[in-house]
Amino acid sequence: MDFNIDNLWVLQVGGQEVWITRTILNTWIIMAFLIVAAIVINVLLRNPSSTPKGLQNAMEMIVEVFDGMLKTAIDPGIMYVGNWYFSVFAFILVSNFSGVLGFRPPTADWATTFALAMATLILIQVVGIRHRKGEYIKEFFSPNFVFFPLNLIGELARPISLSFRLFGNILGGMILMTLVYSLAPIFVRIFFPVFLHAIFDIFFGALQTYIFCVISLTFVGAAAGVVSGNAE
Amino acid sequence: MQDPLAFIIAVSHIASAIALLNGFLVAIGQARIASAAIESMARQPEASDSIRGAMFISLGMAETGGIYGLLISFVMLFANPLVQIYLQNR
Amino acid sequence: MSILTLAAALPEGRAFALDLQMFISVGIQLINACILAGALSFFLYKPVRNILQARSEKIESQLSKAETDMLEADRLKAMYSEKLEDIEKERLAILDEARAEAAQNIRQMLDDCRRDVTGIKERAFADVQKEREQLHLEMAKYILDVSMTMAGKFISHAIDQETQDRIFQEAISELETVPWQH
Repeated sequence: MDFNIDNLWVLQVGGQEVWITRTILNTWIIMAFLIVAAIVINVLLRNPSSTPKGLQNAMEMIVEVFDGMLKTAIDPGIMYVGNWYFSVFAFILVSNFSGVLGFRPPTADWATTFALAMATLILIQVVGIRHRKGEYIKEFFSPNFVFFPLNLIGELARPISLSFRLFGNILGGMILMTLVYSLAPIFVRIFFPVFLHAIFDIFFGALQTYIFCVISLTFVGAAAGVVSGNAE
Repeated sequence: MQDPLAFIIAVSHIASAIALLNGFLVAIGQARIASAAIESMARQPEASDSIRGAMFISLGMAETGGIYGLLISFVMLFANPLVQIYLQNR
Repeated sequence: MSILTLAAALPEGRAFALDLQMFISVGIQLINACILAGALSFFLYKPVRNILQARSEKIESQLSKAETDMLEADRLKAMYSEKLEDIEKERLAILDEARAEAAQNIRQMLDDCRRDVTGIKERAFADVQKEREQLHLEMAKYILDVSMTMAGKFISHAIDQETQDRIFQEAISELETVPWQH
């Protein structure tokens, strides 16, 4: 029964201890996998054909579906956030699915999900100020400057709820899996966990990835408002 | 009270069970969201895609409360700060 | 003391805690996510999106070209139908003109014919008249000749040449004054 985040190394960086946890190692592994896959696909797609098939077709379909998801949530004028959310989507999805292989998913650590949610918060502010400038800042003081602390808390609650949703779902699934693996009798452990993996790692993993991306995209889209005027 | 540690652990487990009770209300809320979404999908089948997206978002939003309870229960069970405090002050 | 060393003892792992190490992990994960985002968007997302965009632009341009072709075709069609209508009108005009001309020609020809016919008739009447007069004269002369020979034979012994000529003259003038009797 071990679902704790192990510390693998402890580094001293300028007198400050930095723990390199299993989460960070798994993140690096997943990153390496994703980046290598991306480079391989990039090399294979050097000469795109006008009639896509095989790998090119699959990649085009993925990107098209992803763009469709983007378009439902945000204005066409801020499609450039797709660059960030594509990798976030891929990372969270592969992380959640990696539980099938017995990895400890990086998303089952609050550090990862909170990092992604903080990035969303930063993106919300950047996009809001870039596209609406003073109007966006004025929204913090609406309807009255007395409401500023309330609005600020509401703003800061977004990454917390975002991060805890993803974290709690994946951690809950992982803890359930660990309990089944450590407590159930040996004959249950052979076949039964397949269904649990399918539910907790694949289904909830994909669903929570979708929900994380769509909700943070909705936040970003709401912050940017309607910017179709400078659409590409 | 013979063993305060046992008492703390017992109370933590009860607390985690109570924290998980909010799953009841969350389930009711999610059921209402889903039923409303299905009703509107039946009424307007051509808008079912956008309704489905909105339904997932709302389900995720509603789930947050349940997830908070789940996390509190996890903390109570597996990373109990009260036990740490007791052990340090003994 | 170096900046980066490995500590001897590993701290105990935990599932969830809000302490400084957690927030250091958050920072590391944030950097990781940014690196991943840069790499993935550079190697995967942007190229595929460019391919898609190029294709959609191509399709768009083809569509617009087809649309302009369609417009051109419509214009040509309108022009030709207009021309066809013109041709119809022209045909009708030519037909009308020809019909009018033909009618006029026919009328003129008829007039000419009528005039010719009247001329011929008149001439024929005149000829007939003249011939009749001539015939009348000749007949008178012939009758006179006959009567003279008869009279000469009859009175050759009674009157001489002189009286004969005088009677003859009288008879002639008498004949001339008397209108022709049918």
